[in-house]
Amino acid sequence: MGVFVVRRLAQAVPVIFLISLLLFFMMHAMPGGPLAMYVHQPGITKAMLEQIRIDYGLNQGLWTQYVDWLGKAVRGDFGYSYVYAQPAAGMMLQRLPATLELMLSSFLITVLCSFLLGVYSAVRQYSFGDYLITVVSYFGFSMPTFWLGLMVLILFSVHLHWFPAGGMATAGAAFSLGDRLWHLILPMLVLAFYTLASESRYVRSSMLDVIHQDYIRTARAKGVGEGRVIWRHALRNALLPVVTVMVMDAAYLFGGALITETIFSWPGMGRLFIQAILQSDYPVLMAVVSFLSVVIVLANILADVLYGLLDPRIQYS
Amino acid sequence: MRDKWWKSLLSPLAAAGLLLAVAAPAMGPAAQAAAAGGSGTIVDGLYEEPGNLNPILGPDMTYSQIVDTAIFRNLFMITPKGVMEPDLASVVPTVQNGGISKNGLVYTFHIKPNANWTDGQPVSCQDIYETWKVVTNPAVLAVTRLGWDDVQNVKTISPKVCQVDLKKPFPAILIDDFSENLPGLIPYSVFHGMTAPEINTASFNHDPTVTDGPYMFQSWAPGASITVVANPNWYGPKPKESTIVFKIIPDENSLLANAQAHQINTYYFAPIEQAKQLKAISGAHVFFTPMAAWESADINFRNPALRDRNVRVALEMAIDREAILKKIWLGYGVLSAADQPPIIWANNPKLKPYSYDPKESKILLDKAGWKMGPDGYRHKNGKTLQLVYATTSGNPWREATERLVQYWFKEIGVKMVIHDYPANVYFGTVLPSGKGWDLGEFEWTEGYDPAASEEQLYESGGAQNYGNYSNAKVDRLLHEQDTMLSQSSRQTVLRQEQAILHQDLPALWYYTPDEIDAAINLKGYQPDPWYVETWNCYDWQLTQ
Repeated sequence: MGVFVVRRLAQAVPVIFLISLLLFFMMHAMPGGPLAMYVHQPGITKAMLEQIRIDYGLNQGLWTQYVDWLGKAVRGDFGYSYVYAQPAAGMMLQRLPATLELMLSSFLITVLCSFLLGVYSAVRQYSFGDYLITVVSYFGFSMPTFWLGLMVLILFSVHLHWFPAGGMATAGAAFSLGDRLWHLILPMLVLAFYTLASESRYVRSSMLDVIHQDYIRTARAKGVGEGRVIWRHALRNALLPVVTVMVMDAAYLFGGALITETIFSWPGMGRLFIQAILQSDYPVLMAVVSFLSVVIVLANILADVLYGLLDPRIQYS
Repeated sequence: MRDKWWKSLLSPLAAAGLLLAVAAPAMGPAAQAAAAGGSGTIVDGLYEEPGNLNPILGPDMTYSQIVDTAIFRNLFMITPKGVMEPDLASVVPTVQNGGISKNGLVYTFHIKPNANWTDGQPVSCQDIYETWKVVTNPAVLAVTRLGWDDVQNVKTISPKVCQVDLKKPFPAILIDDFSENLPGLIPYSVFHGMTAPEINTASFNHDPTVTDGPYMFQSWAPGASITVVANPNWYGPKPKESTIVFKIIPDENSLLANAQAHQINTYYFAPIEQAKQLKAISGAHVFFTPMAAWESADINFRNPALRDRNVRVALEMAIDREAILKKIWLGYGVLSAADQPPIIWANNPKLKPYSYDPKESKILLDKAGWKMGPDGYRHKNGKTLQLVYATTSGNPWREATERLVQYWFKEIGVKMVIHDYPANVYFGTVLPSGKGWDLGEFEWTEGYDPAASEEQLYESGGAQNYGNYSNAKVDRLLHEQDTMLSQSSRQTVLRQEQAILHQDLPALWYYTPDEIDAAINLKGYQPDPWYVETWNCYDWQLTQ
């Protein structure tokens, strides 16, 4: 196992390098560029714009820029944001806690509920409850997040006044756990609703494969209680494909949720990322994308390792 | 038994829900919860997060200036009536009061005796000197060097009396450098001795602890909010509330929801389609303010067909701009005859907008040699009169406008193709390249003095002269007014220039829309077209 992990980590290094190379060139191929922010400055001249281009090092060849970026990036220096003139890596780390708070809480809700609903749907296949869950799942899957988020905001904040209309905390108020939870609920549920829709379907389908197996029938014939049959025998075996999907989903949590974070004014990575794209803030863009690449590659390795741990038939040699 | 297994698992969820409900604070928006009358928290909704709060650093972001103006002041300010009044200074210098030399090369500023920075240091001539040195350092990413580049020297007469010598007369210097807060003044005590890279990345830029405005910086939660608190030692009127939280809400629909839920007290630059909903909010006052801005479509003179004035006039007269204003802008705005809107002193009131007259358009196109073909489009020398219309994507009013323009152009036999781009692509690549567009629509906003904008937009080789327009007389008039001291003389020259722009049509002149702002449960709020909305934030008071 140890050798396997070391080998996979070694393989990950060139993969991450290639990803960064590809992203760097793709980013510079995008039309627009950081100078768009400066064109309306009072008294700006073409010479001044050219000077800004030189200050940012954008006048150099792309390969030179990439080698320079890579040399610093491996030492953790991703440069300074063009817009905020702050270290790009620092800006990313500032946003990470907010993203993790939102994404992990919604992930936990998703995992918990997807198991409950998926197992119920499978055990009660073709029942009214199964159909209801299927319809709601498809609704959750098909509804655009920006629409659902806004509707939730309008209903629960504007009309019912049950929850705040976005943000992480009440403006001007001292920190309180209750206040943070109160602000978290709507974005968390909107996000969870979307992922729950797909993951509960995975659990259902995986459970359906398992509960018709002979060993489940045998367990029931031997008089094992239904709860034990479902949770100990069936679910444990149904977990294998589901866990892999969930580990990969967890990796994407670090990227934040672009739309949900925007609608609910949540100061996470997703918003930082979209803002960096819109402003062509290359240093921030590269910092975020590089970080996500590493997390996703590591999550892939983790998924492989977990698969081996959960399924004794898998041997790493 | 089979019925019960899942129900038992729901109980922990129910318990968690109950816990959250108990833990949650009493429901109600922050703005309402705060006590009114001196100790309340005003929540100011910002669509965009400021890049930094250093009043001399770029990029030029309106939202940076909104926050800056709450914590920094400059020597003068322009009131909503368009009058320059002293702010940090005790008097506005003029030639008459001896504050400006007769040759326009020497300006003397008197700073208020009680104007101090929050570190206790007096605001003094040293600060003006330091600002000049920093702004003109080419390695500093200054928001602008306009005006500062013309300064020859800054001399200290006494700590509170400062003499600024210019290399050449530049009458707009009072407006461009001393009447806003981006660019504004920076404290000598913080920046003296710093190198350019240190200035560009100083912690002060995001944590400006030394300020001189009605409020003082308290904290910045990245991506979430910026908090400022009342400055007890400010020289002006005592702020009526203790705190302003600038809450960053990067979505217009969410801003509207926050306003409707009474969770913000101000909402700037609302889109026209939200005007009706904003008016329906209890306790909301919606302001429609004429702007120092205009919407137009630049003409690309690289296209030979558009070099013919008959074609340009035909296009202008084919567009029913009054209908656009009425239907899309619900009547909130005025039609343009040239670029300068009526509230700007350089506006030429004798110029009248071109009338909507498609019949005349057809005659002009015939005269230009573009004959109607059987396909419903005009042709000349085997070429179809086809134009590419470009603008920023995602703006509902621009999308509606271009569809209408496309219809009206079809009526006169002009084929129009629409290409929209994200704003950074449009301004960063498409417009400056001069390629891929024939008509480029955008809005231009300017300050109290229009000279710099005119040079950028319509002077040959100007940085934003995207369409390559060139008229030697316009260039000459712009240079001429640059050094004139008297505003009335400059007005005469700029009005002449306006008349040429009206005649030449370097852009299809559209309209000036009103700015839409809302104040919710807040009194004292008063939009200022020459400044940013926080210009009188010391006067803002919660009503609930």
